[in-house]
Amino acid sequence: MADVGEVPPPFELLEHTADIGLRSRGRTLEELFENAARGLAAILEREAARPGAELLGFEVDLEAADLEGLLVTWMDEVLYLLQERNACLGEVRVGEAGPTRLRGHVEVALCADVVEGTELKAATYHQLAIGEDGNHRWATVFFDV
Amino acid sequence: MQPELVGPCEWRIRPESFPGMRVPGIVFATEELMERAIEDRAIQQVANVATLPGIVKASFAMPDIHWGYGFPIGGVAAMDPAADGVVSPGGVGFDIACGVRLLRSDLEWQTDVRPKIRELVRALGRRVPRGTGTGGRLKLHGSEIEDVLRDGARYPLGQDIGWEEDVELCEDGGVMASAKPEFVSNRARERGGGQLGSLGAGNHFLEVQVVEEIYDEEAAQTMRLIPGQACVMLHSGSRGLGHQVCTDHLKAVDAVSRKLGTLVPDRQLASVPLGHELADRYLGAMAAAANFARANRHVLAHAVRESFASVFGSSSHDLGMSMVYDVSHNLAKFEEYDVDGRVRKLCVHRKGATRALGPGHPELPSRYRPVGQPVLIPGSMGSGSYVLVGTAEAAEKSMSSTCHGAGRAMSRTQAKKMMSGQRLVAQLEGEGIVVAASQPKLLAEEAPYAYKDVSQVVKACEGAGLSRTVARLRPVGVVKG
Repeated sequence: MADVGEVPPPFELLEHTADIGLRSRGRTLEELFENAARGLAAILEREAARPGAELLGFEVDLEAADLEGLLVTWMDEVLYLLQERNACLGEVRVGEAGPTRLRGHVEVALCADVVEGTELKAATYHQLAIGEDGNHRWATVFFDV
Repeated sequence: MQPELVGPCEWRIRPESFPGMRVPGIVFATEELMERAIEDRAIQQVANVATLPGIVKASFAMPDIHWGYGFPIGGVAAMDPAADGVVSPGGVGFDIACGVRLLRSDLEWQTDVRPKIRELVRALGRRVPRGTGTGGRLKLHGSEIEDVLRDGARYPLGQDIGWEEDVELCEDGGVMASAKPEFVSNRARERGGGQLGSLGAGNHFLEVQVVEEIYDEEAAQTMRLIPGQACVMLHSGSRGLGHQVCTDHLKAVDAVSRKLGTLVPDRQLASVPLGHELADRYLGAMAAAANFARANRHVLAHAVRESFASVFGSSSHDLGMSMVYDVSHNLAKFEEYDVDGRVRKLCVHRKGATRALGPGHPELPSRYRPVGQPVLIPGSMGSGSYVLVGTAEAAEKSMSSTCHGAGRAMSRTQAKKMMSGQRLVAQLEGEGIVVAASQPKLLAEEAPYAYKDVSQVVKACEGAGLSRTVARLRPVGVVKG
């Protein structure tokens, strides 16, 4: 991946009265989507895989009507892999992202500890946005809790 | 956008306030609740919903209104198929047919339950699967998921789980006949297959409660509620299956809506005309998910009865553990209303709002026809809950809708910053409430201070004529994910 400059924190959580939002950033679209997956794992507190646990790898190939829709589809896919398998995130690599297709690889494994993160229902289209700010891309997505 | 007070607890947002509004916004609230709704951006969401095609009368919001995604929480919108009306999966939400069930008992709090409350809460905690990543009480194999999607609460009943009257006293008799399981995806089935009879996490809960005060003797008598009696309230929905049904159809509706050039102020409001093939697919899958939700609460209620029977050494029949009612607060349904002197069949979306039919309505079980439909309103953990009853007036005022809970007043992050889960448990125990939480850290997200005052919400509903207060219940035992 080409070095195109410094970026602010890879993700941060956004306040919402009932739900929760995520702002992620990356130097490229691929990195933006990878960081969004890491941010989602942070909300779920599914970031720490058990050391030595077997990693399960999933090849992901997704399509959506546009880039923003692709982010929602990607978030729903990662959510499904983590929450339904009661697993934590290992490696995540996005090889191609946008404008309507994403291809990547997600690894999940048993969690190191009992998970006490927020349970999410799904990613929403509410205030969904992807933009550019100087030398980095950013994305905002809200989840239904 | 400044709402004007036009009646007791009734505010109007003029259609000229925001571009594209086809009807006014009507918000039922006290002055204090309205101030919060304005601060919370929820009023803008009421205006956004008013732009949807075919909306009839108004974009309504109940007194527990707060900022949601697309629709505000507490939002109600009725669409006319004969006037290019639409259905919006976001107007139902991800937890399709999430709702509340209330069981009553012949047990008296002071003499029967109080001495055994810790043992009872432990027994409920053991029998009720809850929290993230847990399986349900009833594992479904092969075509059984199909049976649940088609037959709703009647499926577990056919497996000798629960009582016949449980389905009679459930909204829609426990099953929406319009369900089309063929439009429920394999992934949704996979997610639901292992989760039937599980509570979930977030704001879902099960509480042992005591009837503290009766406000309407006749209705309370009909519901067999008396002061001092122990009851159980449970709040859960369609679990991963419902979430996936919404996800699948929202994506499809978003794509079609963009092709049709339907402009919406918030993409989560994506909608498709009623009568479009995709609308039929969504409504059929939504009804199937609603059937799953009713079956889920039916199985959970069975676990509650088993727990009581084990702790009190009598059968649940001998303990008088009959059902009061079961009602959803996230659903879209076709209902008939008199609009401008003509009866019209409308698709009524309720997102965090409860149907509240008045006395005499033909859809009510015969027991409740004289008094109106029971409405079950959970308060925040540690505060009281309410039983209300629908009014005839609500048909005209709010498409027979009322509130669904206290409504959040604070974000989850903020709530967690104020107090740790462990400290909250200690505080609740100090107030005489026994708590079993599988994820104590998360408990603080649902702390009483994170919610509005449910009494004020219920009073606003009564003040506006949407429902009447029947009874107040206070929690004595809480089981949470």
